[in-house]
Amino acid sequence: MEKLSPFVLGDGKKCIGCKACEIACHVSHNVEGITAGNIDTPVFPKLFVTRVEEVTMPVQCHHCEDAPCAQACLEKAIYFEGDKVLIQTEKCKGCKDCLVACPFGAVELVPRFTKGEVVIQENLGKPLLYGNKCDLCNTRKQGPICIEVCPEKALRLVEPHKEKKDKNIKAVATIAGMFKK
Amino acid sequence: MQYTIEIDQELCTGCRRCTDVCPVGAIGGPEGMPVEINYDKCCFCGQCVQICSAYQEYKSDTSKPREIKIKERGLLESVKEPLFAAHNMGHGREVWQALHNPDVVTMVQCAPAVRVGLAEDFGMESGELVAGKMITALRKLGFDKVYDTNFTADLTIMEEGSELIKRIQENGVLPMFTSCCPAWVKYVEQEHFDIQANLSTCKSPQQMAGALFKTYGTQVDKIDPKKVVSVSVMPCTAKKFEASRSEMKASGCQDVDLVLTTRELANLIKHAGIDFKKLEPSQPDSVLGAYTGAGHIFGVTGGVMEAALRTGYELITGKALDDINILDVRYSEGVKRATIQVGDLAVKTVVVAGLANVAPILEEIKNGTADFHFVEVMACPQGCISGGGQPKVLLENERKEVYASRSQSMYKHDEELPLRKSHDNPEVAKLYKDFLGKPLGHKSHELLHTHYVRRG
Amino acid sequence: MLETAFVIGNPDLCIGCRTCELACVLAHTEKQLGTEEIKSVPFLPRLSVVKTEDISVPVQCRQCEDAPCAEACPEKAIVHRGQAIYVLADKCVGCKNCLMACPIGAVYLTREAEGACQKTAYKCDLCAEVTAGPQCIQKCPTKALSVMLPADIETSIKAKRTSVVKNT
Repeated sequence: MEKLSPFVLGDGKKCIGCKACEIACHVSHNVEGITAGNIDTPVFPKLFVTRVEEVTMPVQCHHCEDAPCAQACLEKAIYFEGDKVLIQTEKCKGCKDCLVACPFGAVELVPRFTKGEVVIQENLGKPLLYGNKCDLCNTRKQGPICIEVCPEKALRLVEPHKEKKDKNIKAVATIAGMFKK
Repeated sequence: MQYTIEIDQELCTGCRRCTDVCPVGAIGGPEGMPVEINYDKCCFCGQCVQICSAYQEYKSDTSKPREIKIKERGLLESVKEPLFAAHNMGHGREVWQALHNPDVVTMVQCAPAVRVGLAEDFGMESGELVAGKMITALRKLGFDKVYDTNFTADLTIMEEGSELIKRIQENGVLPMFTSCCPAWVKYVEQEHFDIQANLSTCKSPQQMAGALFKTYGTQVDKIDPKKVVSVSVMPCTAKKFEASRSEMKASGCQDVDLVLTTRELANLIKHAGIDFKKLEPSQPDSVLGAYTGAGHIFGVTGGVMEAALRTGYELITGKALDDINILDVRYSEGVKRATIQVGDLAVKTVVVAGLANVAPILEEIKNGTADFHFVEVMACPQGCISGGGQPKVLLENERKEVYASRSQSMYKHDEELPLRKSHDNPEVAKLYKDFLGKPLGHKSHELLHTHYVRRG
Repeated sequence: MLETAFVIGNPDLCIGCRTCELACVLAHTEKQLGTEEIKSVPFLPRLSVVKTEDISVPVQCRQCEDAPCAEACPEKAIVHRGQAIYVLADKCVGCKNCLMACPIGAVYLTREAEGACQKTAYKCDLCAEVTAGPQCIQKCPTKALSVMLPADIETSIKAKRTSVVKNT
């Protein structure tokens, strides 16, 4: 069976909406140091805790097998590396096609900061924006940090082939149930 | 802001992580709604501030933009870190103004735990000891006198040690509880006023220093006490409340005018454009700055106990301890009991780390089964190094390690210092000789001891 | 009322030979078994024979009346067509929501589709494009697979109720 791209999925039944995952995501990608005093830019996480009435849950990239964001990107800045869908942010021109294409709203445009100051484009006089989405913490040895810091263990790494296999095995019992005589 | 700690209702997501860490059950509210603090129960320990991860998003549609919130929280405009729902009052702006006011004399003291936490807000290693750089930074900021809370920690041992010995020898109220943790004191005043006589009458080192700044300090340097702005830097949020207590004006005016947390000091240093990492170390000013290892370890759980024993042992037996490191009282994870043989007396000690853990001890007192002499109570999980005002650890999976690094650093500094017993502090001896007289004397009672107030 | 039919395998008859899987793959390609070109067809059966300690049986889509895969699809690429729940491959972006939603793991995805590279979801479609009908049923050597039509279920229910009354 093919190995499809793993991705991180939140559990709405466990999530308490605390946003520790968002903070950890930003810190892990952008901050040297582990305390709040080291954050010198606004926080731009790659996963988005979303609230619908009584339920909260983080929403993030599924690393789609036929990623619409990659197809939509004008600059071909979104590419597949192994089983991850990544954005080459230097190529991004902020066209917003990926924002529209993504069925989950998992991509955002965020400003770039150097040394704590927002980068302003020379002629346009406005902040430079680039596409930002979950990269499965691809430069982090231990993998996704959001999963580690969630106090409720509401995030997990889904490995689709394992998911399917486990479900198939559980389904055998249901079939036996149908044919019980 | 009205209270030392508040929860921004616009930013709170109702996740209740603060409710879980609050040691006194002061936070709550309806399910799924922002939580609120019950100020009849809150002790301002600030653990909620440390754990809160509900931050204000970049383009959030809150009723007040970030700039207004920063101002309302008393933070300097240059602060870049995110604003979280649970937060404490800030005094950075006021301190900055005082530092640039030519008509005032600014005196500052720093608590022990600040010097093992401060570096973290500059991207340095967790628990890195920066005692010297901290003093230099304070001078560069423009403080006229850079003193040290560790000095008055040594002084507290002299006063509190004498008080304990007196209570033991004269059948006074026992067990005696430490009184340097203002969250613990407020808790007693609110919930257990019946044991207020068990609290040591000693002020905390912060308040002793404040009282001395504007009396002894101004006398020595011939300054008008009314011109002094007394500032402290604390790992603690409850110290802001403590400084504002109405009885804390032994000097005639408020003994401590402004309290900054460790985090606020880092903000101030950055605001002034000081490159903290490159600073050369320096020493505090005399006459209220010299300290021993005993005064320094106040900042970690078991530290006050150990400092008291190092001095108490010598005062009673006339000899020094075989091993100055009293490991039996260190690293409490809740309630740690130990019996230390002091001459003929088996002194039974209890070290409580984390305010919620004091409950069984109070039970024993109420039942009449309490057999211990001296109890150290710290509201915060590992003592002041894990205080509400310390650099805020953002990754929960690192918190334990960070606290461990800070604790280890505290003991390392103690080991490296030439003097490790409070009674060996020459400036403390000079203070008694030139000003106070003797421990528990008239002047000490006037300036260094306090009383408690029933609340609620 | 019931609108979909599904194929089910009888674990008492199934010998775990996986002929059904082969039949499924062949049913969904133009290429013929025994030719050179068949080697380029990726092996993607829409049913999976599962073997546990005591039984073997194929697991395949139940064509649920309230198909969670269809409900979960953000692109509305899974629809009710005929008596099946059907994936519109052109619309699929490979987001894997259907895979997560399916309680029995009957939907999977591939990057190796024949022809233009498309990473899409695939599942049992009741051999909608095969004139002779579901090939797994026809090719199973032990006749372990059969189709459950809505009418059959309804008839069976009526019969069971009748026998309850008769036996009381």
